[in-house]
Amino acid sequence: MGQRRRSADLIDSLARHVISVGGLCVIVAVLAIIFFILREGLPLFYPAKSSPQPPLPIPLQAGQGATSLLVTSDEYREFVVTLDRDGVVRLRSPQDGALKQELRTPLLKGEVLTAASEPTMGSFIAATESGLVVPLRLQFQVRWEGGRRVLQPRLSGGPVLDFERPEDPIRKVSGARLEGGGAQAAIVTASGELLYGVFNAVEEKTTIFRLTDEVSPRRLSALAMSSNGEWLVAGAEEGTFNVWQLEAGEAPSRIQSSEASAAPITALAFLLGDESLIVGDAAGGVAVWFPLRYLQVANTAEAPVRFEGTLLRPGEQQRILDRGYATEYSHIPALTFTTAGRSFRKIHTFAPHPHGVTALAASSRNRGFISADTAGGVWLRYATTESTQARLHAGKDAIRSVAFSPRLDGIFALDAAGRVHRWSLQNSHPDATLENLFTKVWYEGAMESAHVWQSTGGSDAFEPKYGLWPLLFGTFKGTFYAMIFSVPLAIVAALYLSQLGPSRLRDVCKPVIEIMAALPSVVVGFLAALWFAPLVSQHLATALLWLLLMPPCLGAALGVWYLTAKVLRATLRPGVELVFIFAAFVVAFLIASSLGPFLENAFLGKDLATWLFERFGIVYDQRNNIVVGVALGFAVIPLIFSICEDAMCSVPPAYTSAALALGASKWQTAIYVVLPAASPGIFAAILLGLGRAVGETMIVLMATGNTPILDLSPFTGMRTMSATIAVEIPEAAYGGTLYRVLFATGFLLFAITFMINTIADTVSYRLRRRYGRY
Amino acid sequence: MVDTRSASGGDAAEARTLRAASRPSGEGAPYIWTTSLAVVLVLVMLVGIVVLILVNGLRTFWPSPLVEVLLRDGTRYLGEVHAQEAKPQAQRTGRAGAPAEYRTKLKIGNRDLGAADFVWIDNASIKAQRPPSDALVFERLEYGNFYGRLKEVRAGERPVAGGGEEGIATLRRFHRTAAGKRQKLDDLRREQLNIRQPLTNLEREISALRGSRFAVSEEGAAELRRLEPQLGPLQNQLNEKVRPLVVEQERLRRDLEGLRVVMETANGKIASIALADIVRVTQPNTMGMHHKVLHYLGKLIEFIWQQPRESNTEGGVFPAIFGTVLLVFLMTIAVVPFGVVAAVYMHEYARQGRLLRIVRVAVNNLAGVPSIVIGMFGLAFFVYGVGGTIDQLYYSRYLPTPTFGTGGILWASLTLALLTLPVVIVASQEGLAAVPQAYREASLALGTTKWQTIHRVVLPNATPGILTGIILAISRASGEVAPLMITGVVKLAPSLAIDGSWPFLHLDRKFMHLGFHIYDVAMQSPNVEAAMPMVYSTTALLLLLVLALNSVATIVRGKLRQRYAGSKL
Repeated sequence: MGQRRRSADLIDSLARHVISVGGLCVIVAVLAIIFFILREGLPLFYPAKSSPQPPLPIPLQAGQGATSLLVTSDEYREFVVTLDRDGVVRLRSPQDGALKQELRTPLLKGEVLTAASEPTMGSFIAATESGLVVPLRLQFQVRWEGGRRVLQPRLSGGPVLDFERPEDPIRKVSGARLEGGGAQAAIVTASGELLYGVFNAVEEKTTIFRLTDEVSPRRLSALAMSSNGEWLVAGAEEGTFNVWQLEAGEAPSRIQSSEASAAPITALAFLLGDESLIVGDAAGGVAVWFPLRYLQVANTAEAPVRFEGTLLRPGEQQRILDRGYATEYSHIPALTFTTAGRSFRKIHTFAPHPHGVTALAASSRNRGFISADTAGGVWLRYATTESTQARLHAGKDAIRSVAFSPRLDGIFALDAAGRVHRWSLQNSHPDATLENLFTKVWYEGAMESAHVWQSTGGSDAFEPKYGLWPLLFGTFKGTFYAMIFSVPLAIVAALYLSQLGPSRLRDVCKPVIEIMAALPSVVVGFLAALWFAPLVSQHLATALLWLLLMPPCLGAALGVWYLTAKVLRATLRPGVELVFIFAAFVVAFLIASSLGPFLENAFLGKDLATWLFERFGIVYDQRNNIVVGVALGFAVIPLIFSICEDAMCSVPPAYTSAALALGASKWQTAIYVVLPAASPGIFAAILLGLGRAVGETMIVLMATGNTPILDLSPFTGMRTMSATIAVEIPEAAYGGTLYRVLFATGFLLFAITFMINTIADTVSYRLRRRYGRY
Repeated sequence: MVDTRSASGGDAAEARTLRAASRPSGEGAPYIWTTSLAVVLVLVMLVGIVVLILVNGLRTFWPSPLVEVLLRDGTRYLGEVHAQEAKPQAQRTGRAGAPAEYRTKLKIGNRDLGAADFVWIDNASIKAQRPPSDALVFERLEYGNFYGRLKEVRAGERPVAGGGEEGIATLRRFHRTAAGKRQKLDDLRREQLNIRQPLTNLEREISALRGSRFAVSEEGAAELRRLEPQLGPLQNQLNEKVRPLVVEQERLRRDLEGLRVVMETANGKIASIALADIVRVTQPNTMGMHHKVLHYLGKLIEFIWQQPRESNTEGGVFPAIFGTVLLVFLMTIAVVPFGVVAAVYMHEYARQGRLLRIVRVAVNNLAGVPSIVIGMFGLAFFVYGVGGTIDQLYYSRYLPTPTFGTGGILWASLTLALLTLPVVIVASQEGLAAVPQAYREASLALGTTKWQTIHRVVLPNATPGILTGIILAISRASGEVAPLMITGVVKLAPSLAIDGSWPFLHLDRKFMHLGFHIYDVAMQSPNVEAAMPMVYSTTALLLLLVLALNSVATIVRGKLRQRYAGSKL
């Protein structure tokens, strides 16, 4: 007996511990979800981390100043690479600066006067004292030897462009390779000449164009050519710059001359994608310029025409930013639009250096760049977010050349004293800041700043656009229409079934509606997208007419019912009204479905959607807000209904009995007693419905068209947070920016729904306490 | 007397008023009456949707009659009428005010000959229309249906039958032969694959190793050097074994190639179709009711038991059913113990207080967290976190190709378990709460320990509540798609998660799912129109499944309520 008792006690305490530990674990695990999601999203907002390493002194050559012209590195940061004045590419160990390898090319003869690096990996262009310009390429072959990585460098060069000016030393050079083995370059010489040369690989000859006369004023201080060879920019000491659009082999055409700064322009570079120009000046200013498209608008009519708030006189022309006016004003034939080329405009201005800018380097992977100044400041910037992510210091000497390591995990800077400064860098998510997730951003190629979500694009140079606003907006737009549709229906249905209608009806309808809560959302989404959406778009007139006809039909049915009720007063049983309503409903539909096409046919001659677009410019998407509102609303009706109904039923019978005893009618009791008493429950029901609609995924994924637009029209689609997560996260690289942005979105979604649900729960808890039941 | 009468008259009047108030014609009745509109609308929508899905989903398999249409321009079409409707305004030729025009949507199939499966015909352009009795429909393995008339049946190079009734009988006979041979061919192919399995495994191992980071290490290179020479001898040895099978297959294939049927389309085009490519031959216009029922059942069985064909738009959905069931099964195994333990802890052991209330609210609210967010958690935690770690520890030789570090049925079912955990916890708590306190007290008074009370008294009485929770969880899980999309569901899984090769249950495999099948075929199939019947059928299947589960849960809960009437449930 005692033995059994003891073993029972043992089992009991064992069970107690197991269940307590297990239960606590489950609860903790469930609660840990939110922290885990946050943890995945949070690294997005970590600042760039950099750790400096001691500078490497590079031995000076006898009788000269610092000999290196530029610095770069290989993909694995195994070498610090410099191009030196003697035409040798030297590879040094980044640990101690020990010389590892020297690479020479026969193409570089004599002293190299100046050199520039292209943002693409390992490409430079060097100008020698004999007036030759040589594009160079440094490549590394990776071999594996016994599990160790061995890098085999190879230096290649050419084609050589001969500018034939041995007596006039080259001061600045910039160039680009062309497809098919050609190359082009521009130089500024000591005497202030600006020359542009193209080497044609087929004819093997160099054509030189002299651009000096086109430049005014003429004292040039900076030069940059985009690596796709489309743009040539020359900056002058007066703070202006000139832009030429290049067409290989043809004389360049100057398209722009702009005042960029009061101080001399000292550095120019192109960002990845060759569309954005970085301009640095002697006063430390750094800005990014984009080429924007312009339109020439002309009034060809005899009378003045109003255009964008101004009056265009007959024959008058205006050059304006191309914001899609051609389609917007297509209904005014007097206005003609012709494209008027592109010109650069200052878009992003960055925090200025305290000293003059000497060097710029663009990243080869994203929109980041480095600007360096005369006092050793090396600042890491990001163009999209207009932010300065790190301010690094490299001694007191002017910086001559800066470079990212190809994997963006390090920065190298070469100062005028010939020292190489290195930092290792951890900057995983420069393109998403808390601010630019929610504010307007001026993206490259756009005509104005905007909220945009476009996370992936075709090319490497694509600028990801992580504006969460369109997604938030889409989520709440869809939810709003869903609530408008579902809340009145659900509440009124609950009121009728719980208070007004016959109780037999309630016993049948309530479980039916509640079972419908389990209708898989993919089923609703499929029907909304492939059955309801085409149906509505085809019979838009009928659908709208039906809505319009419902009140008069109900009124008419009401009249009929009054007459019937007079005659049959005693024999009418409660619940008969359903039949009448149903009849009115069907009659309204029948009238609408025959009247709709007839009216369209008779008055419009086309269907309503087309007519709306042609007449008012209202776009009608097939998968639009009305469709989503109905589908999503349909999905949340059972939830709202069932909680409302519970709340109404839980109003103590004493309340209703008292009201009825005082002579209130059933309707009065329902409206003035039950509804107010149940209002917290109804509120909770609405909130729970809202929470469900906000997070619903499949319906919106299938029925919205997934276009991330900011548009209040009920006839257009949208893109919600949940659908974006579902579509994009399988493609997002683990740990990448998109992955983390989506987790931040998920966290937002979680937070919103959790908050809504908690409020609802608190409210209904109060209600339960007040009435002490259910 | 008068007074009394008047008083009684007053009473009567009052009674009338009261009765009137409860009758439809009472005061406020028009309002009451209008509110019933909401009920009507909700019911019409609910019932309408279910009816729409069931009708569309279940009529798919019913043979539809064929009709031959002759247009005024001499074009002929043969096919099934799919829809009749008033032409959209945009396509009308007439000016505003002209009477409505109608058009017909005809499924004409023959995708390999013409362009589209469907054609819209202006009713105005139809010259004649009749139901041809000699027209045949072939369901084919590829290119969808074929509609046409029989010209001749060929075996080898020689024709064995012409057109007509007799030809059709021959066709059916030869088709049965061809089907048998195709079956044999499939069996042989499977057998060959089975024999070659060691080779396939070795090849897979080698190719996985080749692409891995492990291969560049000393050890990995040695492993590859060890494995690669085994390939040749094994290949030779197995080739020797399968040679008779290959020869037999070759013979069957030649036979099948010769069994062809020559058909004439409505427009007189001649097409030669291999009998082996034909799944089913029907002559719908001459079918009796009994044949139609048989046809229907056959198609229904095919739908449930067969593999999908033609990028999921035809054939069956067996892998999807299998995936759904297995997924839900695994989910149930995972969710039940945890959910019940948590509920027992919260209800029986934990100190009831403010903290517990907060935990309860949090667990309740978790049920309202969007499923896609739980899916994200599943992706980050299970797939990348746990799966990634398993790969690092046990499958590192294949990296960067993931084994468990990618979506699979295990991760998907665990994610669903997490999603349904609150449902189970809440329902189990309700079940526990419904057990009268007196039971516990009586049991404890008899000297049992707490665990004995829980184990012998509380849990058995709470079973219906727990069961309800489990059924609700299953029904929620079987309809949920969004979290699966990011944790391992695929449109077409090459193999089921359970098969004959060790370890039989492959938890790392991707799987198919009914809900995702609907999404995929409806939204991403290249030929949505032709796929619609399939989508409707799948939808009907899923709907029936979910509704059945829910009805069971509702009934169980109803029984429970009756049993413990007056308790807190």
